Amino acid sequence: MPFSDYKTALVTGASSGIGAAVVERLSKEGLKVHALARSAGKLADLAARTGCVPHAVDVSDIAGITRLAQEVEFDVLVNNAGVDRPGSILKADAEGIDLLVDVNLRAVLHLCRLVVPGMVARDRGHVVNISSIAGAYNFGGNSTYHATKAAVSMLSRQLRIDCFGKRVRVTEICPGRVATDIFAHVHGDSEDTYKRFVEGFRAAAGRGHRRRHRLRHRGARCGERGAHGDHAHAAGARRPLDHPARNAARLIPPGPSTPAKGTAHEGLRPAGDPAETGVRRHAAARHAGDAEDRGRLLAAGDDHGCVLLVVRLTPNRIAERAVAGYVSYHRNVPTLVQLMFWYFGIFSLLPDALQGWLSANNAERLLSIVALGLCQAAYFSEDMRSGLRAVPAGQAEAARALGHGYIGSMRHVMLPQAIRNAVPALVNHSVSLFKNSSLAMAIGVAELTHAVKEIESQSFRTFEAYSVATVLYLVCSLLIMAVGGWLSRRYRIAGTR
Amino acid sequence: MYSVYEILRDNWLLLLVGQYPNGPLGGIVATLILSVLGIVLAFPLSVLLALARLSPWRVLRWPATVLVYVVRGVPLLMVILWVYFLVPLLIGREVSGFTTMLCTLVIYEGAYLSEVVRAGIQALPKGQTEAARALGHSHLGTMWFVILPQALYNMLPSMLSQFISTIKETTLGYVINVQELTFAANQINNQLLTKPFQVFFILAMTYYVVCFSLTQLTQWLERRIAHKRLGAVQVQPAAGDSTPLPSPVAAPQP
Repeated sequence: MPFSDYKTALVTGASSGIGAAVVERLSKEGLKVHALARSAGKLADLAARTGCVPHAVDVSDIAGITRLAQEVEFDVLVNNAGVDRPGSILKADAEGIDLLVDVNLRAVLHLCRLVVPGMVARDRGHVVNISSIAGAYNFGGNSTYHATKAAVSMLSRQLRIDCFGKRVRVTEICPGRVATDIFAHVHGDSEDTYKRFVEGFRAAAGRGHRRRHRLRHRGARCGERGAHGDHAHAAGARRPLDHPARNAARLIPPGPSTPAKGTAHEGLRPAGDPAETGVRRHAAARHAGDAEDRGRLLAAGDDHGCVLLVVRLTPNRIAERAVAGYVSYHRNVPTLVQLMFWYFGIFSLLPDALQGWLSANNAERLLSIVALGLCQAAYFSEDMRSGLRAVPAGQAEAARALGHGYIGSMRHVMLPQAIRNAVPALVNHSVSLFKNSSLAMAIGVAELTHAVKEIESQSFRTFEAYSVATVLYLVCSLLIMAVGGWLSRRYRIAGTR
Repeated sequence: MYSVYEILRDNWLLLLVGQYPNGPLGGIVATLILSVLGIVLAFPLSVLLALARLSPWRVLRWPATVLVYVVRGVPLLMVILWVYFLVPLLIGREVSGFTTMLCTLVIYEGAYLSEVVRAGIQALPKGQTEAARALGHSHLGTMWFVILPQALYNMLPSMLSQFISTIKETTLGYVINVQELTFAANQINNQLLTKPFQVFFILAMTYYVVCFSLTQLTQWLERRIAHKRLGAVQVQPAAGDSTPLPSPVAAPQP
C-alpha cells in the first residue's frame, strides 16, 4: 500500500513534541491531518503553520473522540498523546494512576475501537502507536507509566493479529530519549531539567553521517522484529538523542501487494552501492602494488563478479542458467586446465590476424589475465551472492514496508549487510587469486615463480632463490589476510560473530 | 565435434590409465589415486595440526600456527618446488614425480584440512567440552571421546570439498612431469598438434564431470547432515486425531 493512498490522519497529543513533528511531516506529505490536543492556543499555531485541522479535545473525552471518529474516515491513526507522573508505585497517588491509564491506555484503546474497524472495512490504514522504551524495560521509578506503555505494546501486537489479512499496518514506535517538552511537563520546566534530560545527550545526535548510518543499519538488522532506526525519522519526530531506540515496530506485510517471503530477494537487482564498491576497491588496491598483473587481475575478476551477480539475481531464467553454468564450470575445472584451455585451445580458434597480434604482444600474459580474471569472477560472484542470501528476507520486507523503493532497500538495507557478510570470503579468494597467479608460469608467463626458476637454473642457488620467492609470497598473502581480517572486523555487523 | 569423438576413440586408454602397463600408471586413474592418497594421508596430519593449534600448550600451538599460515600464504607451486628440491636432499636419493606430488599434497592439504577440522571443533557448543571435563575426562580424552567424533562428522561435507580441491590441485603435477590426466592430455596434444581446442575441451570436461558429481554429492551430504542435526523426525498428526488445542485462557466455568 503506497503511502500516497492515505488521505487523512488523526494525531493525538499534537500540540508539541513528537506529535507536532508528526503533524508537520504528514501535512507535508499531503495528508489532511486532524490534530488533537488539549491546548487550543498551541493547536491554532500549529494549524497556522501546517494547515492541519485543530481539535481542542481532551483525548480522554470519550464523547468528543467518538464524535470525531464518526465524522471523519481516518487512514492514519497516530496514538501519540502520553503523560507521566514519575515515582514508583510506593509513592503513587490515586489521581496519577487514573490519569495515566486514561491518557496512555484507555484513550488508545477507545481510538482503536473507533477507528480501526473502518480501516479494516476499507482495507486501508495504518495505526502508529507511540509507546516508549518504557514498555520494554525499566528506567527507574515510573511504575504506572511502564505498565501503561507495556499495555500499548501488547495492544500493538494484538492489533496486527486482529487486522491480519487486511492492508492495515500497525507500527509501534518505542522512542528513547527525545528532546521534547515531556521532561518539562514531568519534572518542571527549568534550566536544570533541560540540562539533565536533554543537553547532556545532544552530542550523540550531532556525530554526523557515520553514526546515523550505523544506527539505521543496526536498526534494519533487527528487521525481523521490525526495522527501526529510521522510524522516529519516518514518523517525522526528532531523532532520539540517546539510546538507539529499541524500536519494536513490526510491520504487517500489507497483503497481496508485498512480494511473498522467500521470493523476495530472488528478484532483487542490486544498485551499484558506492560503499560496497569502496570496500572491494580497497581490497583491490592492496594488490596493485604487489607484483605485475595482480592488481589488474583482481580488478578484472571484481568487475565481472559484479555483473555476474547482477545477472544471477535477475528473474531471467536463461541468463540465470547461463551464469550458473559459468560459475559451475569455473569452480569444477582446475585453474591450470582453464589456463591451458585459453592458451592452447581458445587461442587456436582465433583468427590469424588476432593470433599474430597476441603473439607479438605477450599472449601468455594477456590470456592468463583473461583466464584468471574470468575464474575469479565466478568465485567473487558466488561470494557476493551468498552474502546477499545470508541477509534474512525479513530485511527486504521490512525495508519495503518502511516505504523504501526497490533500489532504496537494496542500497540502504540489503547491500550494506550483504557486503559485510561477504568480506571474509572475498578476502580468501583474493589470497587464492594472488597465489593462483603462480600457475601462469606453467604457460610461460614471466611471473615470480617463473623468475625464480630462471634464477635458479642460472645460478644453481636453489635454496636462496626459493627462500626469497617464498618470503615474498608469504608477505603479500599475509598482508592481504591481515587487511581482510581488519576489514571484516571494521565492517562487522554489530552483534554477529 | 566429430574430432572430439575421434580423439576420445583413439586415446581413451591413455586418458584413463596413461601408458600402463607399458609405463607408469597415469591418466585419470593416477589423478584419483593421487588425490585419494593425498587426502587420506593428510587427514591424520590435519587432525594433529588442529589439535596442536587448539592445544593449551604454547610449544605445540605456535609451530602449528606458523606452519598453517606459511602453507596458506604460499602458492602450491612453490611448495611443489620446495619438496622437489628438499626431499631428495633429505632422504639422499631421487624420488619419482608421483611421490613428490604426494608429499606436497599431504603437507598442503594437511594445513588446509586442519583449518576445516579446527572450525568443526570450534563450532561445537562449549557445553560439550565442559560436560566432558566435568565428567572427569582429560583434555585429550575430551577431544578423543566427545569432541572429535562430533566435529569430524559435521565436517564431512567440507572435507569432501577439500577432496575436490585436491583433485584440482593434482593438475600441478604436470609442472614436474607427474603422469596424470593433464599430462596425458598434453601428450595427446603434442601428438596431434592441430587439435588443441578439442583436446583441452575434453580435458576440461573430464575434470568438470568428476568434480561436479562430487560437488553434488557434497551438497547431498550437507543436507543430510543438517537434517540429522536438527534431530527429531517430523511427527505427522494422526488422521483421525482432530482434538482442538485447549485455549490458553481458561474457559469460564458454567
